[in-house]
Amino acid sequence: MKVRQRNRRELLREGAALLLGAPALMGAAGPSDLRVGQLDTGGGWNTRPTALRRLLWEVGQRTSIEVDLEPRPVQATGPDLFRYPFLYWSGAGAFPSLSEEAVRRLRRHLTYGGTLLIDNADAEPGGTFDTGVRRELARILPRQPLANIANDHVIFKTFYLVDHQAGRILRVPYLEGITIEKRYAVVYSQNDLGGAWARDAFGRWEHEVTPGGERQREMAFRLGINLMMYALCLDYKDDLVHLPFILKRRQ
Amino acid sequence: MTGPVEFLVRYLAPDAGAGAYNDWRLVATTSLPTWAQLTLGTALVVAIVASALGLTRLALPKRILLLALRALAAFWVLALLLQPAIELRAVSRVRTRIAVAVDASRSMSLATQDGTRAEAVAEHLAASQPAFAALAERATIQPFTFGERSHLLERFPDPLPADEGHTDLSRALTEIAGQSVGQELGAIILYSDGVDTEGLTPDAARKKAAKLGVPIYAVGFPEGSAAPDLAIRRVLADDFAFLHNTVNIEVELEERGLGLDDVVATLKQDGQVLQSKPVTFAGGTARVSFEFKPRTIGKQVFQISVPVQSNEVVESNNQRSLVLKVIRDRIRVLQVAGRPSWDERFLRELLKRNPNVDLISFFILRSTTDEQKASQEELALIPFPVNDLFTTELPSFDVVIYQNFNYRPYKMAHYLRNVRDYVQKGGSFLMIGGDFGFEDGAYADTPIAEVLPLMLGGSSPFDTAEFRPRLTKEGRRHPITRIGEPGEPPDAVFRRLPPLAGFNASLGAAPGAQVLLEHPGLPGNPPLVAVREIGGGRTMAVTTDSLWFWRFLAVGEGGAGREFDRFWGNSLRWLIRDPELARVRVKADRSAVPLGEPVIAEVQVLGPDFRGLPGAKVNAVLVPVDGGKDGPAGTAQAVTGPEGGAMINFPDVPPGTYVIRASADLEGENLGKAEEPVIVEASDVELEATFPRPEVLKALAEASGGAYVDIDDNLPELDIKDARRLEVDRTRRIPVWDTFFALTVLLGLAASEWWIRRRAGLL
Repeated sequence: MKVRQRNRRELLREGAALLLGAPALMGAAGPSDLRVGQLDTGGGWNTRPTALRRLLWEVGQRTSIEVDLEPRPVQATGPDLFRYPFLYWSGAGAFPSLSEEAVRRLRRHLTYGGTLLIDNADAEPGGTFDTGVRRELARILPRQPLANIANDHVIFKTFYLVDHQAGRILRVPYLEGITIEKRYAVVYSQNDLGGAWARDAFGRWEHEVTPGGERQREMAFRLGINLMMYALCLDYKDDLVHLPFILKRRQ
Repeated sequence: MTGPVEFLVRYLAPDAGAGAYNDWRLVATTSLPTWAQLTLGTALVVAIVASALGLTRLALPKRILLLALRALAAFWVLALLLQPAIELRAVSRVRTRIAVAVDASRSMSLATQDGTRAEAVAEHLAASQPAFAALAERATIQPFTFGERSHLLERFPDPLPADEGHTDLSRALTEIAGQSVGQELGAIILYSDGVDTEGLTPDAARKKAAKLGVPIYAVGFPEGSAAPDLAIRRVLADDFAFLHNTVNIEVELEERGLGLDDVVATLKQDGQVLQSKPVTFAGGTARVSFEFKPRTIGKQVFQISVPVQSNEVVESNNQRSLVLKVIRDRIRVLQVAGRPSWDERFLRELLKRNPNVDLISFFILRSTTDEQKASQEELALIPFPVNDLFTTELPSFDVVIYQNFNYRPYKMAHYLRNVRDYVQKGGSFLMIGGDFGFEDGAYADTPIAEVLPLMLGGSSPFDTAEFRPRLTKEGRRHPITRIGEPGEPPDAVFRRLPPLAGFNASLGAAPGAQVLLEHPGLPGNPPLVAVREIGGGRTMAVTTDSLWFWRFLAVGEGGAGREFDRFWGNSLRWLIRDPELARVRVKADRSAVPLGEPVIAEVQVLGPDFRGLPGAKVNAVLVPVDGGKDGPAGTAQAVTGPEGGAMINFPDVPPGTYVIRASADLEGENLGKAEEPVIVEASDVELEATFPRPEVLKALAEASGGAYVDIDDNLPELDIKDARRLEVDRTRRIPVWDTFFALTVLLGLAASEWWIRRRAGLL
């Protein structure tokens, strides 16, 4: 596995972050900063523990979004669920069915503006995690089925112009999603995005990315950043003022 | 005695005196109903046809002779059944009516080269007396004067009046023609200058004349007879316009006797010049159009004027005023956010959901210190169009929002002046907090700080601690903070909503600002939500970036986030001065009040629940739009009735353009104020266009089969036909069916039939 070597500035910054604690380095999170709740559904819900933190770090570095670097584990029935409009649900293997209360609260969360990114760490379509996700989504949003997200959707141009699917393994050439009032409230990747994002405390990528290597990893970050940007800006990049610029660059 | 009438009278009515009857006619006196008459007639025809079938053995001449005899006999029987009679009548012809209609409007008081137009008409009438006397032998002459309506007179007064405020030729002619009770209208002799204040055109005049069907003989004034004058002849504009959309005002000018080549026409609003344009005359007329984009909603008064010339006969027609009601198409909102955030996201979602909002967003997605890990071609970023937004496009927005926006990295310092000026000229500006807002965005001592509702400078940095806001006294009755459920106490809603976090401290409210919500946990209770009216615009400050808690966190606590929606909905409506949000409203009875009539308006006062509020004290003043040197033109007080309405009345208002300013209070509480422009017309519509319109009179004459002559010419020969209408004085009917003669004819026909049939061997 080939891992990109970090430059000295990155090493120094990450070292300082480790010593001082990321929130201290980034400043105290404001009420409107991007905080991500990682959904604890039981089972293998945290198989990529460093992935989200790394993605958030990249979001903070590359965009003007202020982030809280520490994703917080949240339970669908917990009191803090609505403090996190953006939820990340990663998993591998089977997991227990959600309680009725959890289903009800997640439905309310998504209906009133929340966003849920589901990441299949197994990268195995039809596997136990995939089956479980589809089963639970059918309970949470029974009237809105999962559907493929078109390649020209605003998700692929909210910050980066993304043309390719990304993740640790390219198993599925598309993202799936569920819309509520023209907004994708649920986005589902089966390519293990977290596997491409995960990086250990010593700066080494935790997983090899195939078949595209480091370019594919970069695409995974770009897609992750775009998804965060989509949650915060919605269809901003579909506004008419952006259209000529984006069309020109797409050519 | 040689005529048939005399013969009939002598033999049928010998007891009547000579000349007792002068007409006769044959009439049927039967009482049989029509259906019975028709049945009998049909039966006789059928009988003749049937009998013809029995004559086929005879030679043709005899057959024809017999059939003729039978048909004659059948006709005679039918005639006897109808009981014919000769009606002797004494009849007389009704005299034709000729209307002489004289224009008595104020334009007839204008000077010609020799006296006024009314005097010229009086002279013509006097000179035409022999012609009228000749006409009077064949027709009844009826004198009328007219302006907006017609008036039948015994005789024309001396001097002729010229005091009617309007001229409606079409209506007056209709009324004159309609007064023909029992008399045919043979002709109308019309004296007028053709100045029709209702805008009658030659084409419309032709249609009118053709419809009347009465010849019109018009006596008018030639164009060259007008005294020197420059006039705004017509102003063409819609009654309403859309905000920020181009309005076109077309102005038609006319000059006579001044020899002008060009003048400068000026368009003003509230005494301020908007545009001046040179206008060139061709053939005495000119046209100029003014185009502009209104920047504020509501009724607005515009004045158009041309300079008064030294020897003009009428000065008042050199200016015109009009009231334009400017309404909003969609609310154009510019949302500039310093970075993507939840606060920005939920506000954008709300604004995008509102079909009445046209939202233009600009979010700073990447700052100058962020890393570049992709080429520009791989990014969806566009340049921040600072110059376009804050120069040319700025006036087109109804509301500008700075949401946690730091202007400094974008070299925008000099554009802040534009934002301040935009507010001063009527725009609305909202600043929402965050670590880039207010003090931390270094807005203290900038031009924007001059219009903000907060005092900035030296206060503490952005504080992320949680707090629960508190409603102020002003906030309890302000429409922005009425976000609770119906009937819910205003304070209670803020106690049940999730606490906020993140606060931009300030030094307090700016002069004239109102604090609606405050931070109760910090010294001095600095404002959380404050509003201000400054210049022509409005500003609002929200010193937190956590209002989205009222949307999303509130949902987590069992709510539906409606308070967030209502807060921003109310704020937007207040910022754009939505008339529906005002608790005091004033509406003038008429936007343009004729001189001499009172200015009347209704003031409507609403309670916090937006229902009519009775018992409120209303104070109103009528002030000239330019401020006036002599103070208000009138004051009025009233108390609202059961439905919250109160009528106010300003009598004896001199001509000018005014604003009615009304305010209301109840038990010492100020409920608000409202204003409405109104024009007291300075000019006399009769004198707005002073020039004679012979073309209108010519059109009436030509289309009606009459004739037109100038006032200096003699009355033309009138082609008056004798009346067709007869009046029957008395009648006498003499039956002719029950006479010996009638019976003899019938017997003779029957005997002839019998004799011929016998000769033919049919008996």
